[in-house]
Amino acid sequence: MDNGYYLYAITKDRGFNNGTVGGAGVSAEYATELIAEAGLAAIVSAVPLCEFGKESLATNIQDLTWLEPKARVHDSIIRQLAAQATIVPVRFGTVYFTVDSVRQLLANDSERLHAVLKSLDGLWEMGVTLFFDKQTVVDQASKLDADVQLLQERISRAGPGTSYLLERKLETHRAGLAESVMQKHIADALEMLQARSKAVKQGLLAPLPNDENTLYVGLACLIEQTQMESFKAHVESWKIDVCPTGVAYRVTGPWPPYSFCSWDNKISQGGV
Amino acid sequence: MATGATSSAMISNQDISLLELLDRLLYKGVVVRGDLTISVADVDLIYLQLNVLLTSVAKMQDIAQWPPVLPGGYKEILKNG
Repeated sequence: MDNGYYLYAITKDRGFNNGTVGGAGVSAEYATELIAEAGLAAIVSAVPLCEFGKESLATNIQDLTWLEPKARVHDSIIRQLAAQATIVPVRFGTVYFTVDSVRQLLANDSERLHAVLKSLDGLWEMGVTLFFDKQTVVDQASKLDADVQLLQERISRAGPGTSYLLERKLETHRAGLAESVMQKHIADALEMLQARSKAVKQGLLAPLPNDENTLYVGLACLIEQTQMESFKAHVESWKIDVCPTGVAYRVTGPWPPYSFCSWDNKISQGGV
Repeated sequence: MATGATSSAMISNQDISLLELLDRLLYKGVVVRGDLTISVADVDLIYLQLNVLLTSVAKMQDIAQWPPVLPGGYKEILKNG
């Protein structure tokens, strides 16, 4: 069976202890190993190309029973390394045909990789996810909105045809209210988080799978490792003070800095 | 400078949302030009597996810091503020 080399993360080559690598990789039968070049080290493990080749990988990642355990192994390997050194976590599903290809990657982009590692030194990522119950947000906002009251009054006095049109108008207005309340809350959360982070990134506001009424948005915050506990405490106290009905928070982390090391993927290819 | 001072807490932290994890692993992180790399189009297909995702996430209900993750569970939390 032909194998490839699955890449997890890149770090400075600093002479790691035994035990840094050697555990099971995403294919459990192959252990992780270090490949060093240009003062950098790449953490890899062998994977069978029949499972991780281009077409099979594209198929397999659609199967969450396949993907979930491998994603957890990927994250676990990265976390164990990140506990020892600053790392650049690599996206899931990056495979090289040969060890030399990996060495070429490190050699060709050593300057950029060293620069990114330096910029991430001592920094971790905290996640703050906001959840909105859209119906509750709408109901709460509608109670205070004069236009809603006016439209409801007009509907109560209108004939069937006019009433129908007014009800559609009310529905549109309420949807706009909900959007505006959610965006305002996200903006307030961002302002609070930016005051306590080196950088903040916002994901898209989207419905949960299988629950169109619940929307969520992920915020990623890059913070000093020494500030993590005070950050968590501040977010907890803030959400109690300002969180309106219909909004919930989750604070997760620390994460390795997944959200803060993306770059132009047109860097050199360590190809065959 | 990264230290190992809190490494045990970081390594043992099991309070990970599958949704949040996949968002990071599939859409974030460094994108290097491997010989084989998942494309964004392939990643989007994952979200078609809605029922499987919720089943996977539901396994985490036992974790203390997790809110219940099924739709009904979320409504419970949100009503309570």
